[in-house]
Amino acid sequence: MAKGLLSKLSEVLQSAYEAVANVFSGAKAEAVSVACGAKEMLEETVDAAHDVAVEIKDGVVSAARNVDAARREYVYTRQFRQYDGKRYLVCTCNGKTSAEELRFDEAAGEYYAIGRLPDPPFGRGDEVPAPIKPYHQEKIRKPLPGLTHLNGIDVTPAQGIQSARVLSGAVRDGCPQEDGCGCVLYTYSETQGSAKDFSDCLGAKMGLDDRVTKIQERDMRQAIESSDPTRRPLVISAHSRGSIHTDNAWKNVRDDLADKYYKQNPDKYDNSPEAIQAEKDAIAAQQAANATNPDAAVSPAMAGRVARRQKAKDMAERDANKTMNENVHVVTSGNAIRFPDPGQDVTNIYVADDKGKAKDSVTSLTGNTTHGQPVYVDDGTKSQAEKVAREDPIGDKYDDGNYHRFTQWYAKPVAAQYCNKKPKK
Amino acid sequence: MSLRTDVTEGLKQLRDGARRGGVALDGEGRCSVPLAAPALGDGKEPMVLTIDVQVASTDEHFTISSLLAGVPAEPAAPFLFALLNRQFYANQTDGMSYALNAERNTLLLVYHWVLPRISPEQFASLFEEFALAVLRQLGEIAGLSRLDPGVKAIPRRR
Repeated sequence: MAKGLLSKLSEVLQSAYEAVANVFSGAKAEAVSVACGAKEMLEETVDAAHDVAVEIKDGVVSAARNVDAARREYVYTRQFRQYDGKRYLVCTCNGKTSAEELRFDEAAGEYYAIGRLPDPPFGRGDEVPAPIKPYHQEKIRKPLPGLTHLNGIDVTPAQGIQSARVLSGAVRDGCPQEDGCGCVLYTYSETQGSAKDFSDCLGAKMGLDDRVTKIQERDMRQAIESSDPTRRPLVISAHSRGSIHTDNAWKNVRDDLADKYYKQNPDKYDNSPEAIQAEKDAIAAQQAANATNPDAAVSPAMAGRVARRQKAKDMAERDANKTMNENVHVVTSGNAIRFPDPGQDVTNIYVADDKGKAKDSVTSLTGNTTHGQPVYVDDGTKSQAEKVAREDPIGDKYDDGNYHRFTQWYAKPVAAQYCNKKPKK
Repeated sequence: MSLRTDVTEGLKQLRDGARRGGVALDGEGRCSVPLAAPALGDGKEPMVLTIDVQVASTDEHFTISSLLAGVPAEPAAPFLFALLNRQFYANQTDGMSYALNAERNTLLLVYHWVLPRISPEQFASLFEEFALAVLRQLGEIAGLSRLDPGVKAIPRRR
């Protein structure tokens, strides 16, 4: 009996031992499995972290190289930065051209000649003009000519002054009223290398230091503030990318003028029949909308207020456009602006084929040929005589294939626009 | 309090004393507000603009937007240049911004609010200024569309 019990107990203990051993064995296997898994995950994580670190390192190195390249390019391509916004008074009188560098005195609101460039060709063939010969005493220049010029794409300072020289000669030849002298107030807009200049026609470029646009604005403001009714409207010649600066300036000055008009006489605009009618129409429409639309959220009064203000602002803008167009006439050549301000009575000059299609490479790609008054320049392919007549006045090669060079194609027709401009009243 | 709550209160302010009507933000923080406006250009009939309000899921920003035009899937570079160039000057966009919805090929006028709070009165004023800007920019875009056939001025809706 006791032996039997002992044997039974032994079996139970054996079973219990095996059960406990199995549990431990399973737990151990599980633990080993978990540990292995953890080890693998850890290894994968370390590998992944290493890859990421390598990518980051490569990225940083690449970015540093790009920054360095960009910095080098920036330094290289802004070699004419100190000339950006410089102004020159270029006059051709009795067959001789002279050029003075001007300085604008903010306090006096006047331009002063600070020195004179050596006789032509002013450093032609170089990238920058020859140094000026400073005057002992600065000389006020007033009145300034009624024609300004802003260069466009891929133009060095020396080339820009040459353009102004050719334009002033064309004014002298084409304007009998100029008493034997043709004068142009020229502004240099810096080039940043031809490739980048061209891309600037397609993508936004200007930074906050857009000096050239500010200069264009100043000219326009002075023109509209002039009280001399016998003076002709200011003619602003803008070649190529210069048309973008000029259009921005025109919009900015017009917007300021519209705002001034509105603030000076809000009753004129707010209480105009047109504004009152717009308010009535909007109130009625909003009431109708609210009656049928359970989601209508806006009170008729608000809708009416918005409509009246919009009409008043539009009318002030219309008045400002009128004043601008009476006092400022923009003449673009080879323009680079596809969407000029619709309120501007601009004249667009560009080389075109006999059907009026632009051949100027900049205008055909990025410019406008539908707004304003187009003036076609014959491409000179019809006759050899015409071709010879189109020879560049400063002696450069006849045709660079772009139909865009100012001196070659545009100086004479721009001068003609200026010469034909009548006094304001 | 949250920005979403502020916008909800602001939307109520648009009713300007009206006893009925009004929209509320939906579960995703969005709503569309119809606004009557005078006819543009040569049109004679008033139109109804839709101005959308969207509170960001983070509750840190909200956006007011409205459709200006349909554009090609890949708008022409000069058109994009014109938009970006105008946006450089606050006057030219009435203080707002342009945005492209690439999914729907549309051009919108947008304003993103980034401060943590806005009062109902400020919201109503902002909404009114935005509506005014939309009307003015619709005129601008109509001008662009005349020069670029790819840009489609929005159809008028009643």
